[in-house]
Amino acid sequence: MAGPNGAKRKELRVIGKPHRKVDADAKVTGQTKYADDLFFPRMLHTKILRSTIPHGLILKIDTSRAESYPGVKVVLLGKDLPIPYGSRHLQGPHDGRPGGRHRSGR
Amino acid sequence: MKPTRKKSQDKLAKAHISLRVNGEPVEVAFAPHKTLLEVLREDLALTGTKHGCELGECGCCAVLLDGRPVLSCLALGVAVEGHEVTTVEGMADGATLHPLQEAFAELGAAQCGYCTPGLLLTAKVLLEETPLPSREKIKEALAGNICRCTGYIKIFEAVELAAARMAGKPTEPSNESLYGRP
Repeated sequence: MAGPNGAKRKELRVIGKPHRKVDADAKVTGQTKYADDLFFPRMLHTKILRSTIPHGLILKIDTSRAESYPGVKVVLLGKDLPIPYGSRHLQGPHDGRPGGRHRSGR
Repeated sequence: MKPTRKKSQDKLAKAHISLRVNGEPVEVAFAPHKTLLEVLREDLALTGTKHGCELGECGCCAVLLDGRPVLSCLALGVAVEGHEVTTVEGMADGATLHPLQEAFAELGAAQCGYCTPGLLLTAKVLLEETPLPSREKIKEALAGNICRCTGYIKIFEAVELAAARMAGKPTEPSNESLYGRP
């Protein structure tokens, strides 16, 4: 094949060649570990309780029944976290603190 | 107030079954409400079978039950007593990949890879029944396996390449599937 200056193009070893992905074999054998595939000793599981009311105003949250449930180690609320979270926390808290708004359902 | 629970909920008797998984006899005990998917992943540590929609819509959890594709998220573990289950971990022959696995890896048909185990097993049954399927036949067979990465073209090409190799036909992937042009 002739290049722009008429010279014969050198055969390249990498560019323009198909390349097998480094993780392809792991993926086709089921060995790739996704987040759901990780198991650790004494691993705990979380369950997120989301608002059933979009933009609902949180007046109070009673966690006593959840805390007394067998096997429950901890119940966390927005007030237990040092930093507000959520995609728009700069517009005000909506992270499960009383007075905040919960935006689930968006 | 502490919620009242029936004692039977706290200490539910485990189901205890024997079956064959990837050719090996296996005995396993698990809570009887568990799906085959949960038993495979949580009790047999075979996490190659993926947990997708849990509704029978995505095909990620497909395994072979006595050689037929089933959605393991919709099958109860207790229902497979005495049966033969094949998962993606059982496809390769030792270190030698199944031709479908080889073709998927070679052509980039496994991208994020989450749908790949279900696709491989479903395609395996297709090729056992139809050694050289048409593109239409492949589409029909894999219609229950959703892939959000590849756009399916590479998957179809990988199945065709594997089918050709298994049938002893020319074994090079086409220029089109490698470079995107003839």
